[in-house]
Amino acid sequence: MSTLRLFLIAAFCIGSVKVGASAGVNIGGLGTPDKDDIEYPDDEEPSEREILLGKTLFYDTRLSKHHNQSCATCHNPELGFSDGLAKGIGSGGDILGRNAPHLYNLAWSVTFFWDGRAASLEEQALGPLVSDMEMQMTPKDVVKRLKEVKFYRDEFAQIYGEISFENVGRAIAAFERTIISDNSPFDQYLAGNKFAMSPSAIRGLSVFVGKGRCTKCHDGENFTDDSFHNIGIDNKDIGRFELDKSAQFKGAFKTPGLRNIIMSAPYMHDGSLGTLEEVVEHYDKGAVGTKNVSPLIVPLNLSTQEKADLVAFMAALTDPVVIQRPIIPQ
Amino acid sequence: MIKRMLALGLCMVFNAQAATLTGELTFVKKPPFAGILYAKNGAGPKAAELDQANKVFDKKVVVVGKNGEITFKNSDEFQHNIFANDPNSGVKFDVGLMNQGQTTKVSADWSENTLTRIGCKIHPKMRSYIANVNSDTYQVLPFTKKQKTYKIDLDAGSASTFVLQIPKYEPVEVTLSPGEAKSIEVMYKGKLRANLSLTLK
Repeated sequence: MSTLRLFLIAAFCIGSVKVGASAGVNIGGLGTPDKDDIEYPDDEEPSEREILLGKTLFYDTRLSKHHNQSCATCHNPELGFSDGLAKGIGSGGDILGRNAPHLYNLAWSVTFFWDGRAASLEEQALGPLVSDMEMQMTPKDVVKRLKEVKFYRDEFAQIYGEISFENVGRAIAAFERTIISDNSPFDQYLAGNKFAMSPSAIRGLSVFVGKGRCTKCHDGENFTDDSFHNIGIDNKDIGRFELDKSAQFKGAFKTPGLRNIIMSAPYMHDGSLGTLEEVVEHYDKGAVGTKNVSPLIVPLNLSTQEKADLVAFMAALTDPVVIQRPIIPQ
Repeated sequence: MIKRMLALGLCMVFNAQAATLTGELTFVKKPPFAGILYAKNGAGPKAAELDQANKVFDKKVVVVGKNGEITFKNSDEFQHNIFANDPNSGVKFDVGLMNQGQTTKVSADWSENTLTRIGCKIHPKMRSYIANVNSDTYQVLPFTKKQKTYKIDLDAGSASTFVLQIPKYEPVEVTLSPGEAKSIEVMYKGKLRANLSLTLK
């Protein structure tokens, strides 16, 4: 057999192994998100100009009553688009009711806020601006402040025709839809690079889709079913039940996506768990004895190794999104 | 002579029964979720079924006639709660929590020739549409994001007027004579979204 022939056979075998790197694991509907699946409002992708306007607004403290907070205060890109706090702090110094959720891959999401009270990213983007606890503005004040700035007058006129509160939401949402994380070690592993994840993370993937029952809720390309579950965090917050009096929503909160989750500690809707290890411990115990807990939450009996592997797998979902801060117009 | 007239009549009936609507629907950009093309004739199905598994509905569009009965099934390991609250069709209902193996029925007692969005209160990504149409001749069009062109092939019977309905889009109604072909622009909020070409043979 010629050297060339041997070389070709070897090259073919290596190629086959790479392509089939994840073939041995049933990954239960997990995957890499496809930008073609993003549903834009009116099926229109935003322009670069609209995205830049949204990004500028996202960082502009004019949108808070005391000029001391922007969207990026609680959703800080350097802190995993969260704030590192258990519960956020409002423009007037109030401690907010819930943990600031991260913003990764919301372009694919269909419901927003921990209780799902917003049905679009546009609606969500405007909520904190006019919340009495958060940025404490009124729609009128927002428009008035923006009209005082030439940059905003020009950009809103070009993009939407006018400055309006609704158009502020459209611009911020257009920017938020660009916060996309889709090239983590897990995605590279799925694409065929069997060395992209550590052996521990690969074992963790098996636990995640199997014994750990994580994909009962954290499924799909963004590791969320966008659904609401009572996972047994026992506090007085009734969650989704505030909006829908169906019994299953008592104490239920939206399943957060897990991409870049290691960057956005602390965890749970009240920020009560500081590390992913604590989160895994919580689920392992199964919230036995907690009222209204979802039937999906049961004791897992994970070994110490399996718990460590789960955390290693979640760490393999990391693909940071670096945002260059815009120049805020004066 | 009588025999000849009878034969001619039978031939005409046969021709009317055998009419076929063919054509293409081509989107300018990414297609939406789904649509339906139907002939304006008949009463529509008296019953239809929609199942749920792996957190998805098994059909993108379920077709039923006026006052027809839709049976919702839950073959999933997860609980579901089908509901409608569609401002476009004005339809509202909530079937309540469904466990695995449960079925429930809803009568389509609302305005005909409407598309109603339904979803699951527990899993907001789930969606399907109920097409409540007075038609026995229809073609459901389950669009996918990667495919822009879709073939129309409908056994049209004696129908000559056809309607294309896509959620949120302006409905398109076309009347064709046998042998006639037409091209129609499909609009959404005043913008061209697709071209529909139809031929009645």
